Amino acid sequence: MDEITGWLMDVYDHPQSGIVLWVIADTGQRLRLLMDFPITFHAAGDFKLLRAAWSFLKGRAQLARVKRRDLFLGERDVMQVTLDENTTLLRDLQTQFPEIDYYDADIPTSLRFIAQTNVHLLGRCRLTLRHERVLDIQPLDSPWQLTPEAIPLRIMELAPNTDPTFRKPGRLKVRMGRREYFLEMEPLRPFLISLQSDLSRFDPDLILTEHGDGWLIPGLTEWARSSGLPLDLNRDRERGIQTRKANSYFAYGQTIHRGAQSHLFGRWHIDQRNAMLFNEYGIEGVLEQVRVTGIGVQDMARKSPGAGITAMQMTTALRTGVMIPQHKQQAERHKTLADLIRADKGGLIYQPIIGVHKDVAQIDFASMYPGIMVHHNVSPETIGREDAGQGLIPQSLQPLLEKRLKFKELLTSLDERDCQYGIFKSRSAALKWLLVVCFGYLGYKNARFGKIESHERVTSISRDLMLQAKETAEDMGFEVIHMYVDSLFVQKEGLRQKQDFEPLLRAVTERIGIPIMLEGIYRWVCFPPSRRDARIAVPNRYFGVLTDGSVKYRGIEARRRDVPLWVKTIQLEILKQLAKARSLDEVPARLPEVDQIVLRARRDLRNGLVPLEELVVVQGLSRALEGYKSPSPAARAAMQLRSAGIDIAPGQFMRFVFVRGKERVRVWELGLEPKMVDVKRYYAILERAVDGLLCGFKRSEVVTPVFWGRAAL
Amino acid sequence: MGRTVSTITQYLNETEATLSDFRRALRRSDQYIFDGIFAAARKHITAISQSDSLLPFETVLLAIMLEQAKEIAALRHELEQRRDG
Amino acid sequence: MEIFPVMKPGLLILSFVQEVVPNLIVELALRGPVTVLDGGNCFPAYRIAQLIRRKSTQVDAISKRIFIRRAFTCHQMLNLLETSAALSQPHVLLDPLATFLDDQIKPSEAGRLFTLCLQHIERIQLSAPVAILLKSVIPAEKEFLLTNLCERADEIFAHTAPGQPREQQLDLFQGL
Repeated sequence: MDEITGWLMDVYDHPQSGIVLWVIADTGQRLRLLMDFPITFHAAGDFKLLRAAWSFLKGRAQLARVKRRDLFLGERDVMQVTLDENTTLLRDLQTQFPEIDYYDADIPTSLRFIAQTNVHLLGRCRLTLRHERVLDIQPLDSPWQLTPEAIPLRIMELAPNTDPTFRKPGRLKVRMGRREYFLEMEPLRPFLISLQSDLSRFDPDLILTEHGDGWLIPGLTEWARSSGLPLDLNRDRERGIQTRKANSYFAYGQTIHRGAQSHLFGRWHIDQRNAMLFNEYGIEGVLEQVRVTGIGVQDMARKSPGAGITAMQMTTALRTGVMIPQHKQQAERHKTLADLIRADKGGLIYQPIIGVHKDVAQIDFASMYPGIMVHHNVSPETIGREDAGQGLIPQSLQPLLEKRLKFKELLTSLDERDCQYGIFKSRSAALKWLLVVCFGYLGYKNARFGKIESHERVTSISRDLMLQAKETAEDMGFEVIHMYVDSLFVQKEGLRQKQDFEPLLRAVTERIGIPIMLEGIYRWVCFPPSRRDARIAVPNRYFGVLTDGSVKYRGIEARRRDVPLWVKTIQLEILKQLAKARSLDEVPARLPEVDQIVLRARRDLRNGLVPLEELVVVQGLSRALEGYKSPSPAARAAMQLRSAGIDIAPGQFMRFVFVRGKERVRVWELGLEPKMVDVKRYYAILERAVDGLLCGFKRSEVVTPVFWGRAAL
Repeated sequence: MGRTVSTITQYLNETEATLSDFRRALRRSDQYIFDGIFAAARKHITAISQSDSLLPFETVLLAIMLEQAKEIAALRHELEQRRDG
Repeated sequence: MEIFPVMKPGLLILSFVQEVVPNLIVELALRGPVTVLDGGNCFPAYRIAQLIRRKSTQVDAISKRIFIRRAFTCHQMLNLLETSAALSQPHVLLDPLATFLDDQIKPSEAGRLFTLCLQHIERIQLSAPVAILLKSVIPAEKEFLLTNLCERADEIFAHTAPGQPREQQLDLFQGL
């Protein structure tokens, strides 16, 4: 018997029985270990059906009659089934007996493992081994630590020199640690031999690629096979590479495209081009999410944060003895017409006062919705019950919320130049994303424990809290300029420094119980009116200059994906110019320079001096090409690609430039010349963007002359 | 998850749409004022929504009256300033 | 277009005509409690309130007779029907097939679940009339769901009768 300590990297099913664990030992060895791991699930429902299911399973699994808790139905008599081997028995059972309610039947193995052993993924642990068999495993740290011991990961990066969708790459950039070099991909044999040599010598834990999911990994596998050469992408030689197909689906009101995936065993593969939010928080963020959710690295990098929240709920359920239903869902309890109108609302949105305002503080509640869920114990099973203990959802969220708040505090006290700052920032951002989606997963239709009443309770409480915050501010003499779900813009004559707003923050936090923090103080902030009618305000659209001179903006062109870079750059230049005004009174003096910026921009465009890349518009294809009655610009672009032999799925993004003539758009990848550009169209886009900024300075309202506005429209 | 009940913003848009024939037959300058009436209502979308009214148009009218009252107060104030000033 | 006179216990009535349903719900509410099961997230709350106002001054009291429950997935739809007691009040189902059209639900599974739903509808039908509004376009592979439903119907309303004036009253101020 041996005892070792190290980090747990991954857990997955062994093809026959039990699980495979990958551990980075403190000795530096990467170990593949095996562990017995029986899987238990439960079945409930019609007694006759259960009896038949029992007969079906007899001799092939361990069976027992037990009482277990359904979150909504309370204690239920269920059949407990324990499988020692990883066979298709469960699937066969479900095909034979679809009418049975199945519980705990589709839980990811890593979550079962974590609930049972308390060892979390990427956590430090102590293992008792006999050869490669794990007899015992003990956790040595907690996922809620802010600064876990850093894992000595070996990362290999692979990137082709061109985008394989449009042009066949000729070289592969390889980076391992500090070394970086280029491998010619032809001729094939030396290329594969060289890559294999790197793989075995460097033995990476993580292969970070570009275009790996859909092209490089499947490609390498195929080329190695047809050349008869070894290529050990997997460390686990007993497994092949797991591939998943690409698909498009409709969710959250839009068509989303998920690319193909290539998963490795024994090491991780992440394709930077196919990883969710990788730009937001990078590998440190992904690892942090894995730590707290229990979803494996390769899955977490590709899935939306919602999967992480579901995983946390499942783990909490497993730990507290609540059965996790596979399909069964609770429908809404009845509401009268008045009940429905009262309940079916979103967050509180207060129309902004149009125009420019000076010395305005933006104060935000930290993670408001999760805060409400925890603080007010909002959970599907606690609705309407005063005496309920802490609900499942708050229980699963509380440690996450606390860790995020601790990170936020830590970051405010750290210097930005501290070498740890970047890592903490990524981890904090990763947790923020988990929290941001957890609200949707309260009522989300595919949530395991979803109930729309809990969703409605949270928004109801949030609206009330916002009104309380407004009252507190107004009681203290502030004017509330704008409110948006969890954020307030407040102003009081004479107040313009951080300390000035502290009494307000304290008062609100005390009254409401959820921390509210100062996001920033604007020297001036502008809420531009609607383009439709200058008397109509637009929520959550603003731009302004903070006290440190930096510019902040929301809802304007500079934020939008479908606006060309050229326009965004000009808008930002104008903003910077306006930001030079140290106070609102100095702004008019900046306007002539702004006019110059616009004139120069138009001249550059006219004379073909704008790099074509900056004129590219990015727009998603919302449906299959056949579904368009009159094609959108994105659809036109997709049609051009299709004629060139490249197929595009709904949800994918088109990159194109507006051109003169009947063509209207030219897809970027097919190339174009400067003289083709539809200059007038770009003038119009620019004008809209510029006007959007300046109109706020031309109009403002103190008391509204709404009805008799000057005829100068 | 689905929002089932229209938002007040949607409700105002739909109401304006049912009045489109009325609006069309107005003079251009009157149309501007007409649009202003709805812009006035839009300033108080939150309050209208919070009132949980089964018949929101009643509350919409109240919001419009509120804006008119503000305008009268502003005009009165300006008038007094000019008289005294 | 008169569905209302046809609503009697024991009967299942289908309508492909959207406009008649708010009126039906209101006519039923004027006479007693009515349950609306919304499977298509299409319950027109304000429209119903407006219609009540056109027919009565007791908007509050009458609106309290309308009981709404929503389902956002087919499993919730089944649960809605499973937990619906067979009361004597009429039931109106709005677009119950909508939740079965999700790509993630295979046709065989949709069929199995919907059959269970139909059994519950039959149970409810025994004590009260049931009207079903059908709205969503059904893809070919799930059309059999609609066929099964139509086979069970006692009456089907498919077109507006010719010569009926379209209701387009400006009812903002009516009875204010």
